[in-house]
Amino acid sequence: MNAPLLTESAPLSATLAVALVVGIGFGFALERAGLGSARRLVAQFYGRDLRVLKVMFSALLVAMLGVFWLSRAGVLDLQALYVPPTWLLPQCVGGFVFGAGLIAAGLCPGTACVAAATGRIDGAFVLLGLFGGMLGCGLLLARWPGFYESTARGAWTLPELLDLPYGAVVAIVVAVALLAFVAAERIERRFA
Amino acid sequence: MSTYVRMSARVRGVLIALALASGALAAIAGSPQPRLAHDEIAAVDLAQRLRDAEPGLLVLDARRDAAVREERLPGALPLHEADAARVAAATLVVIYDDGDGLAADRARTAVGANARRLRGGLRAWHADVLFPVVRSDASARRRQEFETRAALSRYFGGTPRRLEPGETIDRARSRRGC
Repeated sequence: MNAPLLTESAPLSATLAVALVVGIGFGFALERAGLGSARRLVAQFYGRDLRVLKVMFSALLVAMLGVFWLSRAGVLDLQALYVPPTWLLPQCVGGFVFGAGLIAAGLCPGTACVAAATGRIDGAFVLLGLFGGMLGCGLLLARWPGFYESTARGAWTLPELLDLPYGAVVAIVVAVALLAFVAAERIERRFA
Repeated sequence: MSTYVRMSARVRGVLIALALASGALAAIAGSPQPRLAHDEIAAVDLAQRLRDAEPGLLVLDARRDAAVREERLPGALPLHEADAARVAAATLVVIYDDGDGLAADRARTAVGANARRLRGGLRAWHADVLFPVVRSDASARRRQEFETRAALSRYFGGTPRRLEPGETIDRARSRRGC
């Protein structure tokens, strides 16, 4: 086993260096996919251009299939991967707030960075709003620890939730993604 | 200003076929864990053999002496204490190290054909045998499977754990976002 690239005991400088390289790669991929444009992002909510869904589902499929098969080949140690914990209610509320912000601003945090980096003024203003929101969220949530810590489910994965073998869940997600691509193409043709 | 190239139908078809094939094969494979090689043994399998006092089983520790003195598998011998006669008399020799498999691989090559490496080494022994965990909201099937492993864990003095909702394994980490 020789992956992930860094263990948890790796020095902070190494972690930050890898994060910088991965972040630049992520930003480059977003920009090349055209997601640095607020018009394109918002177009998905009107059914005219669903490339966000396609790009994100494509990334998800590549990562999921990559993790599965790299682990199966003995190259990646799944136990060494961090699974972010689940808090159902706070994350659902956060998802709605995030979605509302995405519609209002036309950009999400990643694409706002890309937009700002490519010189778009709206991207810079969205980043300002993002940091303001983070500050406000930090100040507000400290007053509601009961909500912030509610409905905790720990590191919860789909195979555990569905009580299915990992490989079966991978196949289901692939099928759902491909169906979503077909549906997206039809919606785009209808509303274009 | 960037230019965006639309993917050709042929490339798209190949990618869809690749995704479908990978997904279907994943369903057939079932687990993301690599299959045990012919010269490997799983920690739970070894634990069952040790519990059953399988005759002819010899377990060798390929780690450094200081680590062996600190902790070793039940009945395991440090590698340098295994003489040729003992190895020849054994029907199955299992060699382990910390978990990366390098030391165990070297030792296995030296010991010979009837030797197998413990998959995951001492780390797997801890995770799979001594300290297995299950979510308290896991399905009945998973909980039943866990009971078998919990009995094995208790036999070797381990501590099986049921994770309460929200509890994670030894990882007090902050939340991360995208």
